[in-house]
Amino acid sequence: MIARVLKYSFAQAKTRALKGRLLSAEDWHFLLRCKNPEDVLKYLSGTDYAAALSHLPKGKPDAKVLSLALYDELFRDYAKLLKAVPKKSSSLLKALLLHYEAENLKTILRGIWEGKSPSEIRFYLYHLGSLSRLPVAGLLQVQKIPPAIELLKSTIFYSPLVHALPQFKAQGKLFPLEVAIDITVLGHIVEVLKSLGGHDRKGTEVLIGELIDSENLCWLARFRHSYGLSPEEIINYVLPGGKRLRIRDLGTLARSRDLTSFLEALPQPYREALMQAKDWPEIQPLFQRWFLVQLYEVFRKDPFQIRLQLSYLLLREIEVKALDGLVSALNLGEPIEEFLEFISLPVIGGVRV
Amino acid sequence: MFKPERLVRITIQVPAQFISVATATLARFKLLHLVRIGETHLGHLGYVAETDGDLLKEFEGLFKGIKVLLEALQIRPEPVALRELIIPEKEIFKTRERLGEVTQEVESVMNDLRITREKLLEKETLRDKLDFLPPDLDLSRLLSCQFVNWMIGLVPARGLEKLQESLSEVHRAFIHIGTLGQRAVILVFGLRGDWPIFERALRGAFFEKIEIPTQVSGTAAEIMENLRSEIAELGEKKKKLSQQREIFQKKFGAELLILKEKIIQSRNILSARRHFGKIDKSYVISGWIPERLFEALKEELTKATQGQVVIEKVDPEDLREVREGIVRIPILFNNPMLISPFERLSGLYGTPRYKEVEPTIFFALSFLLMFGMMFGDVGHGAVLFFLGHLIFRRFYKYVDYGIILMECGIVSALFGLLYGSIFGLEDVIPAVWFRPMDNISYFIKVVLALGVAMVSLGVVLNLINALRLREYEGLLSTTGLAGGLFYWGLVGLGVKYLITGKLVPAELTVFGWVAAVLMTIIILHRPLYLLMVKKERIGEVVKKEGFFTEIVESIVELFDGLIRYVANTISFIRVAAFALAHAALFIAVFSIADLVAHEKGGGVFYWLVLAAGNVVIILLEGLVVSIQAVRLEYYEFFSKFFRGGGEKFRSFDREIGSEERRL
Repeated sequence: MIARVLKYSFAQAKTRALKGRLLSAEDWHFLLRCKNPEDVLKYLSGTDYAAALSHLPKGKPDAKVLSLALYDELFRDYAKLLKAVPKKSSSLLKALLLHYEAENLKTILRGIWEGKSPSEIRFYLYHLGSLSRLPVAGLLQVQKIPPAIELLKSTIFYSPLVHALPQFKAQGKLFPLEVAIDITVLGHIVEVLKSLGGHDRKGTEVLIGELIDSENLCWLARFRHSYGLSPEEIINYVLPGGKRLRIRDLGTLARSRDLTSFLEALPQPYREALMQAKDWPEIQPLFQRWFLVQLYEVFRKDPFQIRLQLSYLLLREIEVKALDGLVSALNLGEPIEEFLEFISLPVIGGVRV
Repeated sequence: MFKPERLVRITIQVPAQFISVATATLARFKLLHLVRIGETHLGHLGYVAETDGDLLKEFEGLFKGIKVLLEALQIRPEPVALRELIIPEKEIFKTRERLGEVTQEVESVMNDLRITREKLLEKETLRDKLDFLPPDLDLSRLLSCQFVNWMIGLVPARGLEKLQESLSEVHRAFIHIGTLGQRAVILVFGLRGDWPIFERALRGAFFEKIEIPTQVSGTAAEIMENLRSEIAELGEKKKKLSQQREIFQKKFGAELLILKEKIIQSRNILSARRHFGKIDKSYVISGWIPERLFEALKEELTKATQGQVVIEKVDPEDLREVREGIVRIPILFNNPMLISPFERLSGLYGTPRYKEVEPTIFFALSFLLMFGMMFGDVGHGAVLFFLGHLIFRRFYKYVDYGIILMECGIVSALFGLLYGSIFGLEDVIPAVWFRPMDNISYFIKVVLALGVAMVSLGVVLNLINALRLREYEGLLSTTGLAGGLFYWGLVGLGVKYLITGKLVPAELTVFGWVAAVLMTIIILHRPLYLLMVKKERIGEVVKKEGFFTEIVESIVELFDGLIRYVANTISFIRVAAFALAHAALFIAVFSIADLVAHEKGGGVFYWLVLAAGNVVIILLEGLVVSIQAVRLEYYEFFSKFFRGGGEKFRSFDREIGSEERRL
């Protein structure tokens, strides 16, 4: 216990300080009343996001540029916490960050597939800087997918992509490669979790398990109802290692006839959390709202474990996504009420703002 | 050698029609440190030249092309010296034509080789995949099934459970017949009516089907036999094509390397023009060159431009910016071939200022001496020498490291002779000097003497630097003459005590008085400097703000500095320690070898352990000893005199070349 306290004392103080800088209920009150992206930008320049947004060009902000700038704040937090936590546990945060590395990789592959120029592709990449291990410069010089995959030999994406290559060639679309990348990231998080020491592993197992359940449920809903894929194909795209959903459960969910039978097949407490869903796209925001409460709960428990930093980073990610969604909705001129349905906002004591 | 090359600042004005030939002449001279016009007054006024972008792009294309060709022909890069004048506007025609001719001649063979290699790899992969099939599996029978479909292929091993679940509601048969890397080789059977479900599930499982040719008949063993003969044929074809490639290597290798160098030079020349100034129809080039080359350059440029060039030479001392410290004179090292590789190591610490002593020669000699003392063994020295020679001959990019390694090998072998050690065996050759393990206290005295010599040399070099840089105040400080005299006095007493075993009280008294005077000078060095050099009045000096703080700081610095002298000297004991560690490691290796020698087949194991032990010692000790030698150089020696902050001389072609690579 004393060793843990010594190891995590600085990290937990740092994390709590960072959490204190998350947007408050009052901030969201005013942000949700903004009429356009410029107002959002103006309001955010008085918050923790000021540093990241100060580099934006003057005038009406480009939606993508603004979105990437918001994520810069998240990456800055990653960098700070990676330095603060013990080296062994930092591998879990790095594994979590790999999600953005994966997004960049997918963007690059999509760009290559669509024949975009290196500068066009680079524009859409998250600014991971020194946190990135991808050979971005080399990848941007390639014009075909197989040689691009060859450049990834030193990364964990290589084998899964090589294995997905025959399906990519057979189907003539990027989908198999993109799924392979996503599965790799989650699989890697599970692997890293197993390598952690006692308390860190036990404390994080539940959170990571729920995160994987969340991803599986969202994929099931999206693949089936947005992409129209068959149950037997979808089952192969889920990831084992969730907290409450085993492969057998996921198979049953994938084969469910409609939303009602899908919800009935869910174990508790997921069933209760998602019961209000009236349509498939609502699964993700509803689950995320439930998950948000679990993340806040972590801050009331033993703070001398890596799950505290993990929870904070996930909270910050949800906040950035919410801001990104808000800016996009304002850019498209969508009513705020509609946007509210599909977004998770920070909560106070489990109650949405 | 002890000073960097003396440089002069030149400004060249040349009419636009002669810029190609002028740039080419400068590129041939190489030793020009270009001053970027964009960073000068002229550049700020907008008088910056432009370059021919299309021509530059064309050279970029040729560069890519020749790189591909060199890689395809497996021609190793080697340094090439160009004697002729490179004029990019002409060179583009010559290079394009010749490169086209060579490409045409080798293209078909190289393509054929590439295709053969790909086919061979494909067949070998198929062989590895089919290798799992039971040899007696009759594929003819499987192919004639009417109600059942089947497929053989690979799926990621992690996905097997999910695949089973996705097919859990249909009739199926799964046979996991083997594992290939991270994938499982499976044979799947299902009813024809359910086959679309199978296809969807297998698609999701990233299934890679192994294609069995439909016309095959017979057993898996027969198919494998056919495959093996196809692989053998392709292998034979590949061998013949590779021989053809070797002929091309010999025929075009040298020429292609010259062409590549010409392309690089042309590209550099064109890029360099961006850093020239342009006023109306004249180009302005500014830079630093060694003074000894000025007349030759002037002559060449005058000849090349038919006398239509104006060259101005200015001594650095005459430049106001240099005097005011705004512009730094670049440092061009001037060391002989055997010493210059050490510039890489001394340069890691920093670049000396123009007037500072150039420390590479001291670094090189003392590094080699310490390396030899710590790693003295004739056999190991020979191994290092041959390793260095190999690098020197084979890896031209690392020639410097090859030379360093060869030199380390020689001194190591020399000390091996002095210590009488060859591959750790101490009874083969006699020790010309002494054996470290038998004379430890003597060895410690020797390395302490070395420490005294190195620290003293550091103090002397610091005095020279202080005088050259006119830092007179430092002469009286702990690291200056005052500190040095104190140190040498202390060393003198120590030496006398070691030789005679006693000290006369009068000597101690004299030293005490001298030390007291020197310490007082060190503490008061700043006020003394103001009084004696700056000719300030004593009242003004004492009343100056921070006077007493400075005195207190000087007292602290005095004790810190004196302790440093002692610590720096004692630190050299590590030379003896690592030499002893070297010998001790041998004892450990011989002990293990003796132990295994008593086991069954021990004779072989004895020599195996000795060989492995020697390899480990060479690699591990070699690395540790190098690090320790560099450490002693940096912390105990360089810290005494080195100031740094100079700018390294970047020759015209290298500077532009590296800039291009960055772009």
